[in-house]
Amino acid sequence: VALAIYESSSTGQRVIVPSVPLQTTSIVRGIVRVDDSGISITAPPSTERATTLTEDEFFDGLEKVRPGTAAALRTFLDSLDDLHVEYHVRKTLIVRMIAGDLKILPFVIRPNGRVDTDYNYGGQKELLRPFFERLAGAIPGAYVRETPKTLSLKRTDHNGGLLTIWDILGNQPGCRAALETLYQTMALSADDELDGR
Amino acid sequence: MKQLRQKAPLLLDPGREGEATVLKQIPLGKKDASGYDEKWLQTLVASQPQVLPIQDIELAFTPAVFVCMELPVGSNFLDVLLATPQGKLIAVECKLWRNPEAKRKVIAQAIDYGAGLQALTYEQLQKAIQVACGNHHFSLYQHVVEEAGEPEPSLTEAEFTDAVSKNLRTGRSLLLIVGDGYHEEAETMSGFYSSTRARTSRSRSWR
Repeated sequence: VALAIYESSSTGQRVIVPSVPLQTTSIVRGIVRVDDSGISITAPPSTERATTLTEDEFFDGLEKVRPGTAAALRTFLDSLDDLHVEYHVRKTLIVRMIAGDLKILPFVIRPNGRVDTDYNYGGQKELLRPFFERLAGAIPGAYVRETPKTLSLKRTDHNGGLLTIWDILGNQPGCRAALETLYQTMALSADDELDGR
Repeated sequence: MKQLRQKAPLLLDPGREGEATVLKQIPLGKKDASGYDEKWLQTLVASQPQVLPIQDIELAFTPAVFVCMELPVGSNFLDVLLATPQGKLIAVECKLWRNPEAKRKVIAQAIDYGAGLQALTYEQLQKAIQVACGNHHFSLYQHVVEEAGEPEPSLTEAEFTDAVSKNLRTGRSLLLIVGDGYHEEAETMSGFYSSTRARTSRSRSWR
């Protein structure tokens, strides 16, 4: 943590500006090998994804809402690794897909299990359309809601309410297919962008 | 002196639209006319822990309240110990980057504190805090409950003790190095740790 102190030359008042310039994600023990070729450090193989306490508490909370959810959601998210899907927890669980320079948040999952799908702005609407249409087809009772700037997925049977994580977990093959569509769309768009440079 | 990678904040005067004063950074160093040295930094964190942007690092470690300064951990003394009402511990080491020690030792020192805390039981931790505070009746639970100012404690004393014990045993604490900027050598070391990990499991760090 950096605590920088600044001063106003006119008034002499001083301000502390906190920031986080550097942060480790996890520390693992390594094997130090010294031989004729020099020194090398190799980390032991790990099969577990490093988690934060915030993340653990988020999943614990979901587990309390409906037992079995945490493991099922972790398994589902980890199975999307090949589609360049990452997730990160702060107050919500943010699911992010990355293709080239493009980053899209297909889902943002709240601690109560509800899922926001409208965290996308800035010209991403058409990019998302095939994904949302396919996702709507995969989840019974879901439909695509369109505004001039955004697309999102809602449920007809919840008075236009949000999807839930159980809608997704209950229809995993269809949701994965929709995410595959999104990745293909993003990859094509990223390629076009590269060609245009 | 190496250039600190901090952008300068602006001071806006609502009465003068379009005008702004660029604030000038004051370097921290040995106690000079500015009065800002490592001790000052330590006291600032102890008296105003909210100055630390913990919510940007690990939300689970908020709200953090001050517990003590100069906590004996192993053969060293931790600058500042903070704790949350949920029994999570935050170890803070204050370092000025112009301090030569900061260049190589600070990350290793922070890891040492983490290992030192992991070796403690709840009773040993409380005893160490009592030594640091000079108060042999100090109760960590009572202190954290009072300082957090919550209408009702979120955990009972037994639950809090269990939570602290578990976090000590599993080494789940937040280690913060607080300084006046960051040094490229520290970045290199941190980069080494991250790349070591990246070979074994995909990094999901988004910053």
